[in-house]
Amino acid sequence: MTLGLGVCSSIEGKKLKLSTRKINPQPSPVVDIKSGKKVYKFKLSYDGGAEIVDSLDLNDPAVYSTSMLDIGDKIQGSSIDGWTEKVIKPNDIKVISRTGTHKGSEIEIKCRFYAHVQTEHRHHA
Amino acid sequence: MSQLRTLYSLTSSRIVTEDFLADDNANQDILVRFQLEDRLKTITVTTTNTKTIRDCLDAYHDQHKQDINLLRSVIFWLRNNLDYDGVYTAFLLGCLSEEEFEEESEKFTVYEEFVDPIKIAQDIQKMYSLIGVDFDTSDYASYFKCSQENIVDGLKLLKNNPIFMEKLPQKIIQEIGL
Repeated sequence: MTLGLGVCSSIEGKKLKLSTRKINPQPSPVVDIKSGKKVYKFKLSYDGGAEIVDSLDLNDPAVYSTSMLDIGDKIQGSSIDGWTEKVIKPNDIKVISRTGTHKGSEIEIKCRFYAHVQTEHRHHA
Repeated sequence: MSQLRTLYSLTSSRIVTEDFLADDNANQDILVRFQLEDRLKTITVTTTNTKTIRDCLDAYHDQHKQDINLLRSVIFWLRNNLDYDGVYTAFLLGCLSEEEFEEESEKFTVYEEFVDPIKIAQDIQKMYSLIGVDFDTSDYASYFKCSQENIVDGLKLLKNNPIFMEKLPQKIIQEIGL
């Protein structure tokens, strides 16, 4: 299990778990220039995380050669973005208690996905 | 208005001096400016070539037309995102079925294309100077309808501006020698 925290650290797999305190408005779906497939974009902020729950099949190569691919590999950041090949549905989203005072959302979706750190956690002096 | 040149300083008189009418202003399209100075009872007459003024105004207009077109495209993009987000929210709230959502979302689907990094850099810089807001790389990718890698290539060209450098991964910052 590897944890990626730097800008552009990324994961890819076929089942994804996301956690966040804020799901940003959804940008329009796009036909990805690399995969040629229609994908649904997502963007998380206020402390986002993404984890591979199930890894890609051997005959299904990663879109980005730098992505982490093993089950349990995670990324975390101030904001996380990426795409899923299926749209995130109401039943995929759960409200959870993240800390004693804050609730958050947890999303689990079974489809091909890509997630990457857009902004690192800020380090307070 | 450095092109303006003062031709005459006339004391109060009903007579327009002959040389003003006959000098090098003959057969020229010029704009004339009169400045009255009460204390000295003097009129300063300044002229400039009409074409010079027109060229200045045309350049000003062209510059602002480009700015307005860029702002219009940003507003259109934001409006499009809001409309799509409304559709998605309706789906999350159960007001649209999955089939209905798929049908609606198709109207908003965009095809990513390669965009010249120089254009990306120029437009991002102009956008920032006009709006004062820096978007993140996924927003820029959505606006330009291109990949985030393409945006990163554009941002690399703005290495003199630390606001944009913060958006790049450490590896690329090292590559461009910052």
